[in-house]
Amino acid sequence: MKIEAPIEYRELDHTADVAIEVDGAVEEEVYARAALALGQMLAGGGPLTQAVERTLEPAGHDRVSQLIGLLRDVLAAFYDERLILSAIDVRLGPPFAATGWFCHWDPARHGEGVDVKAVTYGGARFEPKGGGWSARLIFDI
Amino acid sequence: MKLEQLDDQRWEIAREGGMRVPGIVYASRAMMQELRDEPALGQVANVAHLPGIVRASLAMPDIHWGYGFPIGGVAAVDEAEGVVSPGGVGYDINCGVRLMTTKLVVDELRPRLRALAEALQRDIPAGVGERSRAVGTLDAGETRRVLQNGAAWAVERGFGCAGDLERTEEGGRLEWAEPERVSETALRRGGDQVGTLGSGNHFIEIDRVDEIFDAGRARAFGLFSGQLCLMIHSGSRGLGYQVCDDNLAAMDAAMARYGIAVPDRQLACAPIGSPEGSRYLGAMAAAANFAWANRQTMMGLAQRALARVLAISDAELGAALLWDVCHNIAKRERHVVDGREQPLLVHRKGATRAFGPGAAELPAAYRDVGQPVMIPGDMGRASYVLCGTARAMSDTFGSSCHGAGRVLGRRAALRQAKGRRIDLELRAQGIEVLSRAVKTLAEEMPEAYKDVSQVVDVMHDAGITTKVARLKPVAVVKG
Repeated sequence: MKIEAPIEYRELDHTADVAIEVDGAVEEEVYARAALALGQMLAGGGPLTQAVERTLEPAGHDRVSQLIGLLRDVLAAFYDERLILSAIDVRLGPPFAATGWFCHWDPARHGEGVDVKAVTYGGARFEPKGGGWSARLIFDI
Repeated sequence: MKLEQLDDQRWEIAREGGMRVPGIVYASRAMMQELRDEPALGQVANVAHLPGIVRASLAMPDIHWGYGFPIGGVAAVDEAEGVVSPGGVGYDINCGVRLMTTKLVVDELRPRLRALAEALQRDIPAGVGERSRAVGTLDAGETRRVLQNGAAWAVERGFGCAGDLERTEEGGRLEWAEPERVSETALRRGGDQVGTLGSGNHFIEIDRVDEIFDAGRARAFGLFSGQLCLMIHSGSRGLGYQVCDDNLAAMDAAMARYGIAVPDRQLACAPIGSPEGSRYLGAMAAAANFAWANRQTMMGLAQRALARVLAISDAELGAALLWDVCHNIAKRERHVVDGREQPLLVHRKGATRAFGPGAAELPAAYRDVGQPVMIPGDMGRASYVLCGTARAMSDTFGSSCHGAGRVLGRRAALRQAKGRRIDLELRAQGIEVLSRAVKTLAEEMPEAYKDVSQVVDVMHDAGITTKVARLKPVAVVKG
């Protein structure tokens, strides 16, 4: 199921960094929404096109580590190639994998983006919620 | 959680459950009122679960919510039986502060302050995605040389002078660095970032020495009233983050094999001598060296910018490094525990080494007075130069606070700043502030931080670090 930005996510209060919460009817949707939330933060409200396609095969041995692995791969694409995630199709597998569509970072259009430096395990959750699923993450900025 | 006040500056979190030692938090009564409902105190207790931790899980008065460890946390573990935790160092390995003194007097240069700030902003890239211009993009081989040689790499390329190295913690190089332990991804993230500031709370600040508290130590440190100084706060950039990420994932997967259980996955750790522990420490030391090279390069660029804008010679500028401290690091040190000196690995996460007089690790110029400790505040109030004491050696493994500590979350700060021009408010106070990202100024506004003077007073009154001088910002460049 391919999901495209923009998506809705909740930003939670955190003293020093950014905490977010995303919901989904199924697990794949939660992974996808969390990854797209990261893309939207990096874009800072700038436009998100789908110019480049990549296969992502993140490491991880449970839901939380897979979620963090996926978002770390999204962040690595930004730091390695200046690519921002704009759409994603997550497959639970095994193996756990995703296809991501990215746009090129443009300082003129994405200059207000958040400088997300890391996806942390601190307080990370991935759990059932109201018949669906929910995840919470803290980004180091 | 059972919290007991020990004296005017210290609070104890009693041992319970799997805690191996108690927690000790340095805070005034007023600070503790604010802290009581914060997750940070629970993190102090969580750190006390680490295998091999000795005496106490410590927190400095700038404590706030971190990942795994609180920011402002100190944990020393027995080197033979203990663990190393990347969360106890933080993502920005060897994030730190250096203070450069000059022969200049701020009040004679007030009309030029904005031009100076603009030159610093132009010459030292800052913010998201900015790449090094002065150094360019280094290939993997050259980046490994940075990781091996630290600040000396920058000095060899004309940024600063050899004398700067002896005024840098560890001489600007941890000799046990193992660049081969740093991943290709980390090398790529850092390859174009030597000489870049970063973003968030990183800054370059021109300060005026506002008040001297200890004339003797101020003289030893080369400080005088009204003096123009330059403070740089930055770290190991993307390379350090990647080193932390790479190793957290490995340790998270390995903990079960070592029979280690911790209350928060961000406290992932491994025995110091294990393959995972050794790999992390070698890579961490390499990232620390990268950070020293980065700050050394930026100081060199800043010296050139000041001399150019003011059209003065290097001799007239008289730039000298006072000291460079790291405040996110794990260090191999010897401290007395239960009456016996023993080798420890001291994790300082948002905490500064603060060795007292006589420490062999200090350069001759400071050995009799103690180690300088720089504590940056917010961009509107003050920063401090402190000095380490014998009390720090006995009570806190030679550690002190590292900054003001945030009191407002970024979203709360943005809400409070709505409709305001933080740059104009600060200019009205005589402080020029520049930032490429408008949002950064709101997130970093003075009210977002504790009053650094109160933080420093707790450390001073506890006898951990004594006040030497207060600096006031007059021009600030943010990422």
